[in-house]
Amino acid sequence: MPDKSVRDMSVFERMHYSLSSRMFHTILVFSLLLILAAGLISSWLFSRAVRAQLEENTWNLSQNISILLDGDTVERYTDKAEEIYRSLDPELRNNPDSEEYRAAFAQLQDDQWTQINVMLERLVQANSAGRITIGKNLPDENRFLSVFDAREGENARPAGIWEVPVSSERELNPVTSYAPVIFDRADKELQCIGKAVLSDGAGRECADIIVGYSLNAAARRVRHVMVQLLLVLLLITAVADYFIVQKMKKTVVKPLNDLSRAAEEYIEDKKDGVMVEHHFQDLTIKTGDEIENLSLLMAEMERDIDEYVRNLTGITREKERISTELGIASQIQEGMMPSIFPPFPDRTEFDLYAYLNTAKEVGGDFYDYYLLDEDHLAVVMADVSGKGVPGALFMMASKILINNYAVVLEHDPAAILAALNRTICANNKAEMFVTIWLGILNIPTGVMKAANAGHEYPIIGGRETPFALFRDKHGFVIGGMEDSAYTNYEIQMKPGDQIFLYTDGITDAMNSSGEMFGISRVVASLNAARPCSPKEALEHVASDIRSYVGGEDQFDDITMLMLEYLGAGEKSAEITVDAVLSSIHRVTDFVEEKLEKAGCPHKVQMQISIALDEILSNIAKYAYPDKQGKMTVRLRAEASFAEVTFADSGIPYNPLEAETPDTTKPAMERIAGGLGIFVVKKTMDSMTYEYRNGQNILTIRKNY
Amino acid sequence: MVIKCTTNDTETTVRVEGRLDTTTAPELESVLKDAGEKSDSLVLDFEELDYLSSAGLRVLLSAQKMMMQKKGMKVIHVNETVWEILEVTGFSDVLTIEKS
Repeated sequence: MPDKSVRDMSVFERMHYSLSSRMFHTILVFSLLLILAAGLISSWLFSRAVRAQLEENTWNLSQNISILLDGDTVERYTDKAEEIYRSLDPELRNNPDSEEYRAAFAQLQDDQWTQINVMLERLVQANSAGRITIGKNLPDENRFLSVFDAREGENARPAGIWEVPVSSERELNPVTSYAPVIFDRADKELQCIGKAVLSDGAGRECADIIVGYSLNAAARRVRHVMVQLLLVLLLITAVADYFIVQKMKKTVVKPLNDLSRAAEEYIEDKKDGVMVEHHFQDLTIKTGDEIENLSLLMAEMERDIDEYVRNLTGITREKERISTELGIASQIQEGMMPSIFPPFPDRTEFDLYAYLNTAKEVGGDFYDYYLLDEDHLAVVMADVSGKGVPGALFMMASKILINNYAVVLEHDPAAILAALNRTICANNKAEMFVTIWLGILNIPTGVMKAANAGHEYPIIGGRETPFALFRDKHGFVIGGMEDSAYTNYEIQMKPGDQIFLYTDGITDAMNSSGEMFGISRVVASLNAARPCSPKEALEHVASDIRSYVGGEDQFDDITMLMLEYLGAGEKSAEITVDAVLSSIHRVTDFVEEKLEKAGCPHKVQMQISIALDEILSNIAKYAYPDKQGKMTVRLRAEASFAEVTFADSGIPYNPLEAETPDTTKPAMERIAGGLGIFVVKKTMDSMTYEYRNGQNILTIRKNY
Repeated sequence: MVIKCTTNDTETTVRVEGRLDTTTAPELESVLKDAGEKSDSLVLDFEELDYLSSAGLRVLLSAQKMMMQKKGMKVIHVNETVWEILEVTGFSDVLTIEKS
């Protein structure tokens, strides 16, 4: 096994470790081992067979010779040879190669001796034997004296040459009494030697026949055959190996490579985000085995994954879209809720602060406040029965409807709630409902006119008085029943009085042991913060809830609002006098006093006094042509501007439509008429007129 | 409103203090009418005048028209508030004014 991953390998390493090369190597090694084993076994068997054959040949040949030769004839030669040998000087006996020794035996080599020798030579040739020697054993000399000696590839040897007799290394064959011997001779020639005994006519053993077969030749033959066998086996193995590898390449390696290439392309495409689903499905692997099965499974898996990815992409896109839309919805909802504090920086009669924390992206709680006109502030606190998107939609509808009805049915909370209920009931398919507390504060008088449609009790208190739950008269929830009726009630607010409005998210906030915050804790929290501004009070309550709840997740929508009435104060004043010229100074004095207190600059005071004189004198002169009437002046003096409103019930007259006098004419042609309104227009910053409820209402404003 | 008249030969100086408005304008009108008949020229001292309204302008215009037949009328010591009124109404071009 390589010690690194296939991905880290070079091309050559990959080739080295490739399946086909490994298969080739494995088969080769096993084949060679097999050939080696086969060679060893067959050479052993073959040698045995050859040796057995040689032994048989040796034995057969020696037997044949003993039959072929006439014992008496041979005996003659052997006896004669022994006689000659024993007649020789012992020194000469030890030197058989000498001329003298040879000459002593030459008398034996007669015609018959030559005849027999030739026959033996033929036999040697015909039987591929190594030698045939016939002679006599001389046990006392331990020498074998040869008479006839025919050898392969040699001329007949002369008679009388002796040799040391072969000692038997093996047991005699019990059947044949024949013991072929293998021995190593001095000339290194390995020979199989057989010995037979020749008897004469009287049955006396007269000569030994020695037959030798060269083992070297046999061994050569065995080697030759083995080499051929090995070559043939090698060839067959190589060819078989080649074909097996080719076959494996076709049925295993190529399909596997196809699969891995498909997988590679698949991965590449997936990385690039390309959705082509045919890498595995386009493969044509027809091996009919596990690999084909694998490719089919891969194709199926590819189809499934692609389908899954497609579905997932769709779902993800859809989720993103919903999330984006919810984010926008949340922004819209937040945008609908007034959230800039103080909300009316130029109004000093009241202070207001609100807090909203939505648990989900969009919620069903809402608060609202807006000035219906200069003197009336509407305050709404509501809680829709559902959360999330449905709650938010219902909330939007409710909020817009309240605004609309508040404009139409001004200053009557019960009527506004009843109208809202009718509208919502008529189209409430989802059967949702909303609880609403709606109050309209008369800013100059401090009277809060309110109605409650199933909403939590307001908590009332202030800088002077402790907070307490105000158990007001409840109507049914909006959207519950079509003909619900609501009742107005009034609270007289003194300067410093505060109204705390909230939704059940506050009272229902739970701690870790599942206990709710509860209304008494809200009241206690408010009283602990008292006396304080609405902002401080709300922040105190929010932090109390947060520490009560601790790390708990069930932080519901928390919505609360506090309104503090600061009183109409010195800054807002109203005076009503008879519409006659003599009343003008009373009004002027009244207004100047208020302006002085408000810190209005002297010059502006003078300009406003001029305006009062012009407008009031107009009213006194022309508003009531034939009866006595009243005129009212309402003043708002703020730190940066003053606003004066004139009201009379006289004949409708819009001074803004009066003709502008020509101020460029010379004195003699000038008339003084119409200059009054012109002066006011010129000196004031704005001037508006409306005819409402049978009254001429003219408002002038001067910034400073 | 307080009106003080000082006559010197043929010139009468009328000092107006306080407010010249709808209710007080008729009073000044009668004073100026008398003074205009007696003297050749008029001087209106507005040093102590807080403001004047269009009723006052009307009085000034008729006095100016009357004195144009004689040796004329002059307004002196006009404060800023009054000057603005005179200016926006074009009276600053009609009257002979000496600002304070």
